[in-house]
Amino acid sequence: MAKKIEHLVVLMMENRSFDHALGFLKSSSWPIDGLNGTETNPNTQGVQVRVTPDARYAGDLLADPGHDFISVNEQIFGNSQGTGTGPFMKGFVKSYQSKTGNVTKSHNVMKCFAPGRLPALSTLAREYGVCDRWFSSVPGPTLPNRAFAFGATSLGRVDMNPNYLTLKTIFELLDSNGVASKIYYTDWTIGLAVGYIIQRARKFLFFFDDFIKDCKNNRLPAFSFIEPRFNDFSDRGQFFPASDQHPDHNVFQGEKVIKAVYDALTSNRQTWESTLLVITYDEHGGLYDHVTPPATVNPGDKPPGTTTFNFERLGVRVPAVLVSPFIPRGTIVRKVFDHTSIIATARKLFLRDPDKSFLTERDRRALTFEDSLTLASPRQGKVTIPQPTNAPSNFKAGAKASARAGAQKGRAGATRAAAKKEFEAEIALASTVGAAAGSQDGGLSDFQATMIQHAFVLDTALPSQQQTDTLVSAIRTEQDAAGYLAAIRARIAEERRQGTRGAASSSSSPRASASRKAGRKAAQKAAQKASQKSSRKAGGKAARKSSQKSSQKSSRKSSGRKS
Amino acid sequence: MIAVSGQRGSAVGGRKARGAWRRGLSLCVLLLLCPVATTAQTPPATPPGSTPQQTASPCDTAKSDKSLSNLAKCAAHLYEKVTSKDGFRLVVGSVAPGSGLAGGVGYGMRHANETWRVNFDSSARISVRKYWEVDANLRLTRSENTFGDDDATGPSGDLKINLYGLVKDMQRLDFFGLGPESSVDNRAVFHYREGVVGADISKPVRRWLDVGGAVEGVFPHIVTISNPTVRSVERVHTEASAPGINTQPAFLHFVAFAGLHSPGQPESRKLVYEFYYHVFQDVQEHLYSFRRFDADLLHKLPFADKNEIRVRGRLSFSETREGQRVPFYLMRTLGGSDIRGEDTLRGFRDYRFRDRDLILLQAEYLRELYGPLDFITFYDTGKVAPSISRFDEGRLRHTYGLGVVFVPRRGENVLLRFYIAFGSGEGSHTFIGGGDLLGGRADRLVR
Repeated sequence: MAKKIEHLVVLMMENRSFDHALGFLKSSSWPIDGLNGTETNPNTQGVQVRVTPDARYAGDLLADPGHDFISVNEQIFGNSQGTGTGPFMKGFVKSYQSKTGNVTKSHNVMKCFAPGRLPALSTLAREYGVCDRWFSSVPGPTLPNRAFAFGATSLGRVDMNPNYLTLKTIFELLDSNGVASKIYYTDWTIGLAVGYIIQRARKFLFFFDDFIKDCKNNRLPAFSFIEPRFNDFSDRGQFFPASDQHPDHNVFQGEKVIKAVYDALTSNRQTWESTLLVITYDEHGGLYDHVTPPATVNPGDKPPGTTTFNFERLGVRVPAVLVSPFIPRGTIVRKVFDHTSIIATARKLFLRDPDKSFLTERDRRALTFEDSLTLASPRQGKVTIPQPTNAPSNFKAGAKASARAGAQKGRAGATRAAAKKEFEAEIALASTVGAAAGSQDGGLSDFQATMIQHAFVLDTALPSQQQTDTLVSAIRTEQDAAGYLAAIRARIAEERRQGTRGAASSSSSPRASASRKAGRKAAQKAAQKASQKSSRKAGGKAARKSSQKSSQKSSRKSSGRKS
Repeated sequence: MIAVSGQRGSAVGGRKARGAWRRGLSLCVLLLLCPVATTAQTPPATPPGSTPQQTASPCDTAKSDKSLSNLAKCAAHLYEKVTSKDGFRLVVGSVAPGSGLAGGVGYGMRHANETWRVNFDSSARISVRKYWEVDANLRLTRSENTFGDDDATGPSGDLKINLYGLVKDMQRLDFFGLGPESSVDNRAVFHYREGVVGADISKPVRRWLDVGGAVEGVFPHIVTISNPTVRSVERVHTEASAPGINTQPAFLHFVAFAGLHSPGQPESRKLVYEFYYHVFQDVQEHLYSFRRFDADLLHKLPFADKNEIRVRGRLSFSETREGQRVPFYLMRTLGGSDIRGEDTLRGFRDYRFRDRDLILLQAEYLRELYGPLDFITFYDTGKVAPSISRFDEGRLRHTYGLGVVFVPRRGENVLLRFYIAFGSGEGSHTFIGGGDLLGGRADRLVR
């Protein structure tokens, strides 16, 4: 750590996944584990729904996507029990349909923000550090996750019971060690459910306005936790919208909070140069993310078997941004974090004996992020956060393209066709950028990345039991790529044999037929795109040839299956 | 706003007070459940083993296994169901001070796009004393999806537009006569029904200034009380002593609003000044047109960590042209809570004093007892008058009292109040109340 950090500030927003907020920012120059643009989830009719960069600030998610324990199980495992060997992260659309009761609306959980739509979050992420392996602590809703952020446990619960009176929190731990901490809240905080904090409300609970003042006067405590506005506030002459970004609150209101926090910190140089800001989200809110949550340790405060869930795996990935003048521009932190990493880092920064002063086993073993501050001296100047780009004008076209999941050329009028073309170009660009990411790690060329992408499309077109469930974005070496391609070849061969044998029986199922049809379309389209992309990017004749060959191969494969 | 009050000093008052206690206790329990609603964004998780479509509701589970946790889950499930913002919901609150507890159903719908958010809310409720209200509100709010110059000090508010309509029927409102010296023995009642359709708009233009305006059609009606044992206003008063008793015309009501406050989030403001200028235009009889200026000035002064002093001053002055009068049913009142549910002279009964003009000064001292529970002691003084020049006539009334209040957030408005007030010379006055418990009304510029 370049300089002793005196203040750790945490801003925790609500209910957005990493891919939803930052996934489409993946690029060759900033190779986060984001989206390629080809990631899909099946809907209840078996149609593959692709991620699209057309999320709106409000209006997409009027029915709140499920993010209770059962729903998250469905999203990750495809079943409510939370068991199975995959494919993982394929249940988001189906889960949302149980909320909306509408197939088309269920696709909205695959909508992600286009670059430029979230200028505060994405600018700070690019200009400072982003953690692309930060997971919510619990595969469940708000309260247990916020409880973990405060106390490294949810007292064995995954529900929305607000009784956390007995929760021992980082605030108590710091207080007992003589270290100051504050919760800066707007209209509510889980601190109001914690006994130790309620009893000392005026010691710990402050308003967001106080944070602005404390920054300006360099009077921040060692540890600060900021809560946005969780509910619309309406009084006679005024209306303050919720700013927590929880669906379907206007996301840009949260952007304003993020910017306000950054502006406040940078308003005083002493404050700014001694502070590490963490911006993260409590959980993914039922929105799509492609990274399967890893295993973790049980907090150890409840005997095994006494709780509904064993707490030995993390929740879905969420955005997490680290901001400090000691963090180099474009930093990507790949360590696995969860919300208890905040507690672990606070302990490490502010307690004399951090290894002995812990809350639960979870925060004791959590990785810390203070080592991301690698610069010897602070960067000068303040980053300018631009105004957002306009919403894509072709939302409808985008939605339709998404609904058709890889549809062919539009049949509508010229204007609509042009809009659709523009939309697809955007998708293609995102895919291109994504595919190129691999080369930045020194492992894969553009062409190899294209092959992986192509193979992935074929993979997703396979019946679910045949899919490899490979984390494509994690393929970074030629060896991994070769392994993946070999696996796909083998599956396709197997599928072809089975398809020939059981053509008659499988063709009798309309759902299977729809699935195959969608898969074929997706494969053809991906092949086309891969071909275009290789021509454009790789430029080599051989590459073009190979791509075309693979395209033909996929077409042949599709027709073979059809027969 | 829900308020349950009791007047000690008579057998009826004693019964009222005991009833108020019982109702208050149940309200307290309900209120404590409010945070659950605030945070209950998802249903509680059900044990794994079946898909959600097949999952039994927590109440089904509670039927077979009546353990405390299952019953609690069932209660939370029902609470979420009945307070849903979309579709039908349960409404619990009151119609007006004195109405008693009211319940009913509400219906809500939401729609949003990037710029506009539309909320439709409607409710119908009836109280234990047969007061009823039907209310519908369409609220449109417009978000600025760009960074503003003043964002560095936190987000500011949005443009708000309300389109609304309501009908309120209040069976027995007290009327003690006009002026500061009206006698409690002259109590009469009137059955008042009021319809309102209107629209308002408000917008924060600076971090310290909100402005707005409203246009309404107001349709008052005093319903004749046929029960001869009831001392009704129409029997004991004339047009001279109760202007507007004979005829209740329709009014066009225009309002201009300005709110000055310390900058920052509404929860933390230490100074809030609100000014209204009303024009009531009698469009039928042309006898009752008047203008009114209202000011409501509030200061919050926290000190020594756990203490806070609040000082509030309210002024209301009416003005008429020659030959015009202010109808008694549209006058502001002092005593208990006024028709909007605001505390006034807390030692007196609701609506105890009524006239064209009023002044009121309130001082409160709050001290934290445990968490959000505060001890309160207060002093109110005020008077009504037929005109500004006649404020020296009659007595200035004083009341004082003590109690406990539930202030969920530091510096925030009081959510639940229990107090007993003295000094009126007409018996003590107990009060238990707070905001609407479930499914409250929309926050319009004019209430």
